[in-house]
Amino acid sequence: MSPVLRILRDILRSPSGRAGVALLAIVVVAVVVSYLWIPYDPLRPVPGDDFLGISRDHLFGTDASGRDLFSGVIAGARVSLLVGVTSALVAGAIGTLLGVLSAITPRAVGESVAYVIDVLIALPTIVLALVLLGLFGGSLFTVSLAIGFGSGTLLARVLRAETKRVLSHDYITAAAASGTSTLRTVFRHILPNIAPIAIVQLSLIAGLAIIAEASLSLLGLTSLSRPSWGRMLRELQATLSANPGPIAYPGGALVIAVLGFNLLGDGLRDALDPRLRTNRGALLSERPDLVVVPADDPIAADREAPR
Amino acid sequence: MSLLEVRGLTVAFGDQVVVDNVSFSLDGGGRMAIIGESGSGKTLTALSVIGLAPETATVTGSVVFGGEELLGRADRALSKVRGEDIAMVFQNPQTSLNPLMRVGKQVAEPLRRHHGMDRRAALAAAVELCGRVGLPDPARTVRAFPHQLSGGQRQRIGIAIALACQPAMLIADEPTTALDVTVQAEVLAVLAELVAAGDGASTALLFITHDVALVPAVADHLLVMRSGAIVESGPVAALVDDPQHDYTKQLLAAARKTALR
Repeated sequence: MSPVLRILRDILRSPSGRAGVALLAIVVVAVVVSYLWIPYDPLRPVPGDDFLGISRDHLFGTDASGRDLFSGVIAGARVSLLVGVTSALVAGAIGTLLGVLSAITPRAVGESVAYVIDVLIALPTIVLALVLLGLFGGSLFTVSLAIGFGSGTLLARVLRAETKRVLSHDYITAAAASGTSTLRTVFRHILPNIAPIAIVQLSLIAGLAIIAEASLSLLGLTSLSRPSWGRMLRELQATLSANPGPIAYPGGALVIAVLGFNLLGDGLRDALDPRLRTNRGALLSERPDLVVVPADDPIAADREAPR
Repeated sequence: MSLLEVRGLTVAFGDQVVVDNVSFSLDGGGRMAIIGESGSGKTLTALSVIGLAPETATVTGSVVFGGEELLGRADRALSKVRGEDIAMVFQNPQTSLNPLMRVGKQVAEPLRRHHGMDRRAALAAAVELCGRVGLPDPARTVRAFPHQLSGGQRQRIGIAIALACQPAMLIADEPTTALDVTVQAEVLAVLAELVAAGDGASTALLFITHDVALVPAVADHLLVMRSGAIVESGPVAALVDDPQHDYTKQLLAAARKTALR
């Protein structure tokens, strides 16, 4: 079985992994559908069609200006998925690079990098995003870059601590004692062992990025020519007291996407850890070929007993 | 000329001296044990020999290995010596193996690093090494993760890693301390046998322990360390029969008492 398939199988083994995959599958399907078929232009008001109820023509009804809500939700899925994934990628690159570097370089260099990280963390992400949006306009790339950079510095701090923890383990000293170079130690020993923490953090970051983008759109700070869930919330909010129902569609979509990323992160972390993947008991029953119990080892033989 | 010549080795953290002016020498194929209580500086002595003392420590003196000074050499140069010429077995096999890497890959690491073997050749060699350290069904064992093996099996992996490149010298830092008593003897026997059975010249052994009872089985020369200094040294038999220093007498008395109990 290819490694990718095996990881997917292991993700599906945990309840949170299954839920995460299911929720994100909904979002992905919405994105795919949006490229094939959007029933109405989600941005064009249709006079006279305001507040239509659920019908075959309008699956989710329409808003105060007669825009089709279903079209808005599936078109907005593109924005949220893209922003979630790109922000997490940007944050992952910045966070891993700064975090690991500041932990493995000589003390003086590492401490200096750590101070720079602390200063960067003090810059509020949302302010950074506002500045970048003001300078470069409200493109999705700018939004993702700003959110990714902001959360990347936080991730760097977490991963610096995590790398330090890994570095204190005997197997790092053991690797050095058998002549492993620093670069090789980073790739073979440090990165795999900080991955569980990084993955959970990144899944949280992806979720937060989706919410941050929605917040910026809600404030009207992103491009107005692009349908997104935040923008729908902004428009529906104006008529919230008159007709509160429709806000559930973009709101629910946001919950599905954010929860999906967070649960997928949990499942992925468990899938990548061989100690969680197969405990001893499960191993004995499912993979007897992997258990090594010599006849002359009473301790191990004893462990085998409760089969 | 001796293989390893340590002269006036001193390790200090700030103004706190933890290894004080230690000198000893080890011949090719020689067997030496360093004994002392925890905190006596024996592990730090060993780590300093291969340049792995903590970054915050100041190491002075001289460590000459095979005619070359090791102290003060750049890390990059030292890493060619480590694993290839001098290898090390660690105290706790629970923590000295990477939990996320299959053990076969870990045994193959030094071979790929020092002998430039490709993945497949190194793994084949790892299977053979696992067989030599007495692991059952080596072809399957190499595919296991550390948590799937018992403590004794894990330490055999540790020994296989250390001996992979047939080093001229092996440092064993309390290799059996973390193991169950029943497994201790087996692992010790494997270690002693493999060190003696190197191709051509046998591997020199520097065995660090706090347990006097283990010494006669693996070493013929003994250094007794206390508070960072060597208090007595000599052939094992002579020291056990006729200890001169009070601390050596205490150690032996304590060992006899435990044996009687």
